[in-house]
Amino acid sequence: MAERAMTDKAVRGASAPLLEVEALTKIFVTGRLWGGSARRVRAVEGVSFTLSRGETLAVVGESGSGKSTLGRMVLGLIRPTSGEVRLEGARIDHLPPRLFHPLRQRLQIVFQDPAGSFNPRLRLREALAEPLRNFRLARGVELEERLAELVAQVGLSAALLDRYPHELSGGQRQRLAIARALAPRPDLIVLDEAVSALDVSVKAQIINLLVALQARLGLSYLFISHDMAVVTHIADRVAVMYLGRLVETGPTRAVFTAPRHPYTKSLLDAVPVPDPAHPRPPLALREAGAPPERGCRFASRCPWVIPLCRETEPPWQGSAANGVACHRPLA
Amino acid sequence: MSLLDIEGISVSFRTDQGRVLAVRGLSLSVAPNEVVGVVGESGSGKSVSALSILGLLPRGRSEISGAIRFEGENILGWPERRLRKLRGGAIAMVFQEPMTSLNPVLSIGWQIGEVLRLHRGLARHEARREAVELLRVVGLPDPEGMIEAYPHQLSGGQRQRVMIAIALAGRPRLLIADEPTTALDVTIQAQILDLLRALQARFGMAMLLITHDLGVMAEMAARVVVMYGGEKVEEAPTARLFASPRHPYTAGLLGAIPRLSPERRDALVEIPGTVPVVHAPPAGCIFAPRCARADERCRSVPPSFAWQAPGVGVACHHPLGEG
Repeated sequence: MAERAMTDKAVRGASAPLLEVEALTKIFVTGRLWGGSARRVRAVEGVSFTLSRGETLAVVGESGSGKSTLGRMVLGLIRPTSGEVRLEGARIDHLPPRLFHPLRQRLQIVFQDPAGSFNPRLRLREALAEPLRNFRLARGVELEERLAELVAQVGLSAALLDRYPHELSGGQRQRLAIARALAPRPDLIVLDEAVSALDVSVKAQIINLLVALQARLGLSYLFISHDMAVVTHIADRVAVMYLGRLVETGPTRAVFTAPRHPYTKSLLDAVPVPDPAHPRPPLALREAGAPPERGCRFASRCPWVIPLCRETEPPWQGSAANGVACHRPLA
Repeated sequence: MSLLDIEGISVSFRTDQGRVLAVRGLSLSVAPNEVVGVVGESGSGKSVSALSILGLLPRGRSEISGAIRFEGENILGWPERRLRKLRGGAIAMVFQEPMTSLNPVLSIGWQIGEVLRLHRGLARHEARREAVELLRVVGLPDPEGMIEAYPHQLSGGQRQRVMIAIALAGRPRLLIADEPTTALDVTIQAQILDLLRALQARFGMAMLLITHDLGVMAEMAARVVVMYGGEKVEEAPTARLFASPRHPYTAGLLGAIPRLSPERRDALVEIPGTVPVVHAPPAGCIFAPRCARADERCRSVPPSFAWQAPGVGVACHHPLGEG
């Protein structure tokens, strides 16, 4: 099995990046139900990025940034209003469900809450076997072997397969959610706040596990998170979103040592420092109000705002892999 | 003299899975104007301890023993009527989820005014003026307009500022803050922490801060109590605790925190296993099953908490920094 997957990957177009997202936009229309005027929520607007094999791109932002909507559009769970999602160069954003189904084998997801993502009445053996049967990947003895391999990969004992989800700890459940995502041998896993709900001691275990699995299996991760500190431990590149827009992207180290967008800088400055000898300075950020109708969406909170910011949406400067959208970049 | 003295409290709950010993023999004190932090993971007993101070544990399903002295008087076992005078007055509390703590059908002004009338005996017009002033103090824009607003019209950060205004309304001598910023975005969290620190200094109130976040703890507390599995395992001044932790659990936690260092992919320190749920007093140290330093004695004899230096104590047979 493993060799077959390897050669498959070698044959499939090596030139195009694994995932390309171009000018992706999702506008939700709300409020029409009661006869009032419709309100258009621009959840994601004009977001572009690429993700290569074996790479981790972190999408960071706070609530309302659109990062989860973005992840769901990549997985075909939400249909974009406009823009494109390409897998190895082929468009997948407007496929009918019948044609999208085989792709689900290659695109998997792990959610934040492992308790809510398992059927409470299914033993874990069944929960884990489901994707293998759905995609007709294994049955009989082979299925049993694969299940044993999967639980071992995530550091659990096979005895847990006979338990129900509620009998496990949060960390064990998240390991099983990862095992379930690994089952169909995906190319890409979307990790949507996958370690956010875990206790510190367990979070460290899961982060280390994800890093080790990636090195061993050559997986690509789209790591959606609000936690900047976690991102430094897992991501090669980072994309920062604010109210639906991509505001900055680049290699993690570069972005974190010299943020160019004032919002990126605020996000980093806001992280509590677990070192009493180096206190965090007070945050130079203004109270969040309603986002402005025109211009830069961060203008109402930005400490470095100039009149131009309130008039004109800042254009993207740089490449899709390394750039910023700001009239007055910091670095 | 201390403002609050918790003396050897134990709390247990009856659940479907049997009795759970949530807190065992916890002692801690808070001096006037001091910020003391209690840090721990889920199931450590930190929130239960906070709730027990104000008699907020579910009656009938929980049992508590020990003593809780506030300004010298043992308030444990006070009747509800008496506790109600204390809550929102001399002792105020701010919780994690401001939406569930605020009443959705009452205006912000009404909810602050209620505290001002009950605890400070202000008349209606005085209460209104004071409410506006309090909203200004917690940094809310347009305080005059804000008192007419309802909780759902505010953002999460604004709601937490309102909760803090309500807490301040009773002029508390002790503020208990239970994960006050955990549900907030990180930039909003930073602003709320900045606010809490400024208010604490300005009004000279003591604060008992409960959090799972060692970063928040490092920023806010002068002294830290570390809890694990319902017990206090370590206590020390904050700088000392972070610089030289004595308990292996504290050291493990400090190593496990993801830090904002751009040096990526240095593996985090793992504490193997998971946080326990305690049904019966353990034979040995509660942390022994996860501890790399544990030996036969740790598995059979529970270590008792012992002071090693003024304000520095640990419950461990083999504390770090010794031989």
